[in-house]
Amino acid sequence: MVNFILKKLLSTLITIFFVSIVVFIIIELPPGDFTDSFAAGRSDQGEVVSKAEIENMRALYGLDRPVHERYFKWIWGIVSRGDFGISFRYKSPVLFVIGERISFTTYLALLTMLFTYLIAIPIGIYSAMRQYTLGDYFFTFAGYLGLSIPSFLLALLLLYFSTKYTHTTVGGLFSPEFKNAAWSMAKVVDMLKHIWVAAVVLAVAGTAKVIRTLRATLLDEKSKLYVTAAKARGVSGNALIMKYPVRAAMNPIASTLGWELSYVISGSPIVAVVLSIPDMGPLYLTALLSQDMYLAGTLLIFMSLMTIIGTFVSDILLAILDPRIRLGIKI
Amino acid sequence: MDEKTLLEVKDLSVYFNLREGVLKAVDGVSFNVDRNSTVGIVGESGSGKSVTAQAFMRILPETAEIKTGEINYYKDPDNPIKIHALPDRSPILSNIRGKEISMIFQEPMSAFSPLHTIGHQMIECLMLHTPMTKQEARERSIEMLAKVGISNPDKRIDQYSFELSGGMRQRAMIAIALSTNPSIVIADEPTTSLDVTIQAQILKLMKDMQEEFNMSIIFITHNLGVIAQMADMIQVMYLGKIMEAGTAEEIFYEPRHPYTINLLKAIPKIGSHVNSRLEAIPGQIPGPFDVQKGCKFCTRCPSMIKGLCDLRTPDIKKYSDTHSVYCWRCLEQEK
Repeated sequence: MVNFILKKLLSTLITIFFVSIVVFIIIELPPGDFTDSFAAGRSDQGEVVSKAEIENMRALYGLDRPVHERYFKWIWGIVSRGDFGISFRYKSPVLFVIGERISFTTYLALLTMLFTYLIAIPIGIYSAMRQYTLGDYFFTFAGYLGLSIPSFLLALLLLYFSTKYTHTTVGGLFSPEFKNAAWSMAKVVDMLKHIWVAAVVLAVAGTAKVIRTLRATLLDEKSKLYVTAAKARGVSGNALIMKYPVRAAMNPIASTLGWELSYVISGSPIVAVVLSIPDMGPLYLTALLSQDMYLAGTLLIFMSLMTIIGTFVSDILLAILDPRIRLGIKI
Repeated sequence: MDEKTLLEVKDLSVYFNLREGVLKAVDGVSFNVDRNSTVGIVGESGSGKSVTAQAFMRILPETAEIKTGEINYYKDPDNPIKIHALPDRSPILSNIRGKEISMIFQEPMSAFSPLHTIGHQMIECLMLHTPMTKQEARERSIEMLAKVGISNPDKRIDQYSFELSGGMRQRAMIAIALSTNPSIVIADEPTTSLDVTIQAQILKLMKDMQEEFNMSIIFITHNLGVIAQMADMIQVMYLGKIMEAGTAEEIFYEPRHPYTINLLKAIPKIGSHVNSRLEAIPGQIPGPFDVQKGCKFCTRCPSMIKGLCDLRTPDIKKYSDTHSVYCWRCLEQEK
């Protein structure tokens, strides 16, 4: 098991290295750099920016150096000092700009995943065990409904109804009285009160997918011989279902955890905008538009990192769940 | 009912309710299993022999139901258990499964959970049916694994089924089935997936175990050679019905039913002419939904009596206390 984890960890690190290269190439791809978009912005406002001024700026930010030199300087900064470079636009270190936003995105993603599985797993098991009953049809219908409603619409609906009937707004991340308060238990509770709306909205779509996967796998597993054999040994009722087919049906759930996480993260910006949650979404958009490359790069790396970590976690989970994977048996 | 009887099957019918219609997998089957004896159920694929055995443990697929008949278990002759009438979630039923009657499956590879160790599944079974602690159950499991001839049982117990060879897996299957000291062991084609040398070892093992544990075996197979070595009594099944029943001697030396006779002709024999062809039974097994009036074998029977066999279900013809045949031709010959 230790070997397995080390192996996976190594491949994860290698993946992160390649991702960082690809990320850098992507943010280099658009023609021009930050100084160009800066100059363009200025001249739109009627100001004249001289060529020398731009060259100066370029030299200041190191944008006149070759690509590979900038890349390694950036990576070295990250690895050695945890320095992700500076944001040109905000004229301060990237980490400072991103700061809380990254943690909000992380909370939101984790909370969403938690909701998704809390809702989907019991329903999936229920649907498979009571196949073709009214309950099964109901959840199937509700699941598809959740899948097909765009999440921003659901967010808008929730906003509307909560304002209309409870006269409190669920948008934003804090109630007004906590907005500028220092962190305290009460503030955390207040944040959870607000963030759950976004988490539920994001979870609804993912839930349907997990329910369908779980239901299908479970239906397949529960008629397998090893379940009958366990029944023939006297194992019965819930013990039989939970221990054998449900356990086996957890495999596809665990293996898609990584995708689910990346789905949540890529799906969150628009919901975050609607619910005015200050996560990375809006920041990411402006960073890309103004070619604020270290900021955009860091955000991009962070998003990829979440996916990679998700995949890493699902690999570990799979190994815990399934001895065939742990022992590297080929079947 | 005499006191030798341990399991009594009376007019058992198991129907599958499928989209295509009702499939009568077992259609009015009756026989007894005596204490410490081996009953062989022989038949081609689709004859209903496995379904019959599944009904004894009430582990039929969801689409199947016991339509008619009785399965009475006489562990305590004064207080028989009506297995057919127990509710699905009855604790008595859970106690019968694995404790009173246990099953050895055809494919040990798929009958063991790949996610749990052999030991886990053995210990689980022992702890369900005996007052043993986990440690005691583990020791008992190791002892059982050793008894069925598995080397390094204290190591094997923590392995997964896919880490064992086919023969070892089947031995482990037998160990798990016998660990609770059941009165009846149902062996559903236990050697079919094994090669011939291992097959012989497993059969010998089962016989040795029968002597040691004093149990009855219901042995299901399509292999007449295997059944000849194992069974005291043989039930020949075809399309859900018993065609002929008798002791091993009666079935092999004095077969009466045309189906049995033809089945025996289809066995290759050592010493027969090298180029002689095996005699296959002519015709095809009718489809499961083709409703056949009369004797189910009449479509393939060489001595079918038109107007009788294809219209009316044959009555029983008894040749001895143990030997009975359901065949119009046999009944006619007597007249």
